[in-house]
Amino acid sequence: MKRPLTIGQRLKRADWFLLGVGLLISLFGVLIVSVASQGQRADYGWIQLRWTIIGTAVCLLMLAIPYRTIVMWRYVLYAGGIVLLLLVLAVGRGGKSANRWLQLGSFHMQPSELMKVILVIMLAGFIRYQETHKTFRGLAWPFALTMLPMLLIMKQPDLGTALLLIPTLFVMLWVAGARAKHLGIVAMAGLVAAVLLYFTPGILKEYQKDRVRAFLLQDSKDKALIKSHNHHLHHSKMVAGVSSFIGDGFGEDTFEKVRYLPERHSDFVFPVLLATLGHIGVMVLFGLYAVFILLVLRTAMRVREPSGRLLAVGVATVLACQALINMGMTVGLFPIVGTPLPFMSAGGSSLLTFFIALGLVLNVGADNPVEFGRGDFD
Amino acid sequence: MRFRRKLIILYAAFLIGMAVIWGRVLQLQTLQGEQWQAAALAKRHQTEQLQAPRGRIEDRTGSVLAEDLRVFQLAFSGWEWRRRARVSCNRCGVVHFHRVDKPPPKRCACERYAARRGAQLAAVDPETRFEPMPLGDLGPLEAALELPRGRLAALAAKRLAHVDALVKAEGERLRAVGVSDFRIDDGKRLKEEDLLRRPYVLLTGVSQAAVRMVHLDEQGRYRGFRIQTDLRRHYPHGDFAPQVLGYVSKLRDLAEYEALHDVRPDQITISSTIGRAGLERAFNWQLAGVRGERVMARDKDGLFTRLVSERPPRGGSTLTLSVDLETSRLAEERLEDHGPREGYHPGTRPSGAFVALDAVTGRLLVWSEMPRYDLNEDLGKVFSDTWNAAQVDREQERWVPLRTLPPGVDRAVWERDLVRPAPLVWSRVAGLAVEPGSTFKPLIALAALHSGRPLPFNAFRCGGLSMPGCHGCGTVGLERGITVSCNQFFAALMSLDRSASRTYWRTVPTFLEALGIGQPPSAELAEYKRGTWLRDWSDFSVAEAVTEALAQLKAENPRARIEPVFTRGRGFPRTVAGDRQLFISILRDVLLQAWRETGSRRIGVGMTLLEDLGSERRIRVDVRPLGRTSWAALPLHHSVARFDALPDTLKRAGRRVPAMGGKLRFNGSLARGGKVWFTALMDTRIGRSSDAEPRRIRKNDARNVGIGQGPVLATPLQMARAMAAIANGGRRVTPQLVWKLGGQVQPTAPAVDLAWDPAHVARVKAGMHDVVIDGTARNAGFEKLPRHVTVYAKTGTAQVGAAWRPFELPGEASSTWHHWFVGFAEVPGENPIAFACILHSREEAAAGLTSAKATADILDFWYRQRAAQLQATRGGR
Repeated sequence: MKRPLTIGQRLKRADWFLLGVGLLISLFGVLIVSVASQGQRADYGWIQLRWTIIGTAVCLLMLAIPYRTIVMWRYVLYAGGIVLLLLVLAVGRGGKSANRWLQLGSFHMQPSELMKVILVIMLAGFIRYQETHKTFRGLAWPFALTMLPMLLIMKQPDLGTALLLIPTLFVMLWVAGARAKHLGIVAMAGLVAAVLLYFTPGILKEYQKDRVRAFLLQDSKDKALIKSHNHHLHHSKMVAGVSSFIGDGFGEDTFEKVRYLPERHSDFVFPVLLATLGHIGVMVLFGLYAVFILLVLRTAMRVREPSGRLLAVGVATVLACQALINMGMTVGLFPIVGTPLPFMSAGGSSLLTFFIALGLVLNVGADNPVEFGRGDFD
Repeated sequence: MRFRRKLIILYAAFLIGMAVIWGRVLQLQTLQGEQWQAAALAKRHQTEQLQAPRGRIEDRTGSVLAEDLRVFQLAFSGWEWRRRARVSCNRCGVVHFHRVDKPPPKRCACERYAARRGAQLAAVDPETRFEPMPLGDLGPLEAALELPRGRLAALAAKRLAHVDALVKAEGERLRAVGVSDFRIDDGKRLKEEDLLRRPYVLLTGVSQAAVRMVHLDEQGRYRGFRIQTDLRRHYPHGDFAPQVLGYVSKLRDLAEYEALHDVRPDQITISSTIGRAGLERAFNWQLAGVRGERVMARDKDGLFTRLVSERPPRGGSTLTLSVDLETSRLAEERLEDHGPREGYHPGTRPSGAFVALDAVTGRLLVWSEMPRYDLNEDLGKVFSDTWNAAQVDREQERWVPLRTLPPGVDRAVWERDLVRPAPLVWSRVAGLAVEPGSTFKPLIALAALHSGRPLPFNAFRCGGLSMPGCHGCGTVGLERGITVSCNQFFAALMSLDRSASRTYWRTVPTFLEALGIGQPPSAELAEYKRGTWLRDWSDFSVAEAVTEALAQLKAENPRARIEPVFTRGRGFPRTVAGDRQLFISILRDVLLQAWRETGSRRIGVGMTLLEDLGSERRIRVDVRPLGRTSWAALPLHHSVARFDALPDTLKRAGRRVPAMGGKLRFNGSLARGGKVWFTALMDTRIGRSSDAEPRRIRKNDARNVGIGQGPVLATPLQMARAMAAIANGGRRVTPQLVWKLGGQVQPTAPAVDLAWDPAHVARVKAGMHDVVIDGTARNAGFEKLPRHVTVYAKTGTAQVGAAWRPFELPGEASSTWHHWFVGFAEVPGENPIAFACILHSREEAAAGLTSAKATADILDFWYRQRAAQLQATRGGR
């Protein structure tokens, strides 16, 4: 058996280009968050920069432990994640309408963000060493492992993060060789169940249903409805609608445009980017995301070890889905959910989570053990 | 599927997702770009519309009749009352207000002046700081506003209650459109904030003392109250010709604002005043000016303090009238001196008018009328708020009294001035057409001469018996007939010779219409329609009308249980001609009164044809409860016949129409104790039945038309215009009130040559010349006029017209007389002045002498004093 690589070897073999792109997106985010911080109580740009530095450090630290060791500890991590989620429900702090944070000194930790990565690790490990997911019945375990944290996150309530786990599960299963027919049946059943749950009293919070209604009524001209119902979406679309091709730069004009945009430093940072740098900025961001995802997927393709592959695919899926949902909701393509834009939105937990995920992918790429999976998922 | 391919699919899906998002952004920026640009601009900028002051209205000498004054308003913002906590600085004591949902301020402004920094703030009373101001604290402000104690707080509380109601309604509305409970509270909170933040005007025209008190309120005693300014229309001579000046009022609602803003976006603001009647309405857009605009942008704190642009408002044009205020005022005094003390009805104001115009140019020189009201008083508001419905009826030249007391109107004022048949707002000069009586004779004479048909007789022997008003005029010719106002001469002229009469019946209406009788006076007075000339009524079924009256009655009074028993009297026609709606309206009121006062469910309605004169049928409606015998206690009211002054007409009619006897029996029955307790007697007069039929005088109207009675109605302005035509030798002028607009002299409409034979005009003028010398107005005092002034005139006395009769109230006298005096005065080297004077009275006076006396005084003032003064000043003609 091949000896594990040393830290130095891993650092040497790590995909520095991928880390560079991740850092670039993050610094780009710092810039936009700084613009969004104008007129706010705190300088979120500076806070974001600090988290970027911490995140980079954590990312490099992740290289210290071979990813297979991490995968091996998946049950412990999973249990820890579940405990944290339970703690949130027990002693967590509320945001505007939800109970999502754990206070650790001056740091507010959002375990649901961390749980996204833990679930990817859990599923990567679980699927790697199981063959059951190729049967319909065998899908039950992966689903059960996903549903548990998902229900706990929904209970906070954080529907956006909870629903994000589903595409991650589906993609990982599909890539790992689950049959598309089985997954399709489950998806259809899930949709029907979701509709039934929506109309079942007591399952969804009123504000969660309200976001769906707001999404459906987003083109209403009723001012009262806009104010009471579509306040976030209306302002977000307004900022996007009035942005010019090259944006208004970092001056007063941009501030004038975005000053009434709520949560502009976190969930609604994409319209701020549009107002600041216009389509040029969008082009840069999309380009960076495209390159980033491409590099993560390239890592998955290069690695022959199945759990490493699944880790990379899982991370790519989480990041891609979250980016699309966040940007889509700010322009009215999805209902508003509290999902930050990866590497861009202000928020320590989110940034740290994605740097951990990035660290995992770097780890996978650096380790690259000479071990062949059974059938190579094919 | 191979792993690699799956990853490619995943990556492609991601790229497609990003492309869709990009496409959506492009859609927002291009297809919906304008919408979002507008929304963003509205968010960042605040555009304030600056109301332009309305232009002034002044008389020919520059005396201001109407102008806009800036007044202070006390506005109230409930937000500061409800949602503000207060803290006071423990160093300087100044009270600061802050939102209850935000922390109190940390520093006070006094810090800048203090050597010691960081003055701390302490709440005055943490327990009660969120409570509204104690009511007692408003006392000094109430005193300054001259309000009773507690009134201001009550007004504020009323506003807050209103806001609460609106907020509740908003909640219901949001619920109705499918908003969830979770957001409804948000919506209600936002609505409340919006309403409470908006200053609401509580009082207008507040005193300087109150303004100072609110402005210098450092202690925050009057928080929530603020001072605003607004423009208010002021009429320095408030009761001068209010009917023709008209009145203004604020826009009624958002719908009216939007409708007018679509038409005149540059002139309308949300606080604009709009001319509702008279000249204020006719020249509204010239007077309105052009609104200004101020665009403010938000500062760093989000407050609209940065001026982006400002366009000042441009005031409206000044409207200079050709009338002379001083002479008009004197005319008002003379009308009051010579006229009756009361109007048509007991307790009503005296009624009359005097109008004079330049007979060559048509410019109006004097405009006076009674009764008047002060445009500065609230009566104007009453009109503007409640009389908009009456505009429709004004179009139809018929007054329908409002049956309900408008809110906020004093009942006494309402009954005296508004509910009456001849309402206060009707101009007696241009809007109220009545029978011209004998003043019509010069026009009839001219019409007969102009017809081309020789007069049937050159001289006529008047016995003084067959016509009222004649007391043996002897043998009279045309000129003498005018001078002594011989009724028999003109009645015979129109009816004696069948061949000639037929020509006159056909040509007289055309002649009079060409002269302006029955025509709208001018574009600027377009509000006043044509008056009425040969009324346009049509046939209708009596039975159907009764059915409709009952239906209306039951609809308005669901509790009324009436089973009418309708019988047609002997000889009663199935159809009658007349004003159907008027007929229904009267019948409905009569039935309702009968039901209310007797409680009887079975009410008999009987109709009897009193007179059928071919062109005119008079019917009597008897309404009585069936099954009751005690009639004596019931109020008795009846109207006397219209032609009491023409007994011979009645006698002949009575002989020819058997039903006429019914009226005599009716009177007799009254004398015997009255079995019929309520009778409404209606005149239904018939003119042409449709536009297709050429206007012509009907045979049975001929005698009445000859003496200015019957179907003939005219306004004083129309009569003055006709006199101007005689004065200038046969050219019809257009009366014009506006002399200058914005300093520019307005050209007069060119006079229309009526192609009269000067010899005919000379004959009529000869007859009119002698009226003030040895005719009917010889004792009116015209001898006091300067020698160089020659007066041509005609007196007239006419009985009440049917337009008013139906609205008389029980117990009131029903006979009304119109005392006319019309003519023109000539001075060598000057344009003649045509005039018309009318006084309405319940008493008969000798041949309109009261009007003649008033006219003599007015002309004397004009020619002795005013004309020379006006020549010397800028007000010269």
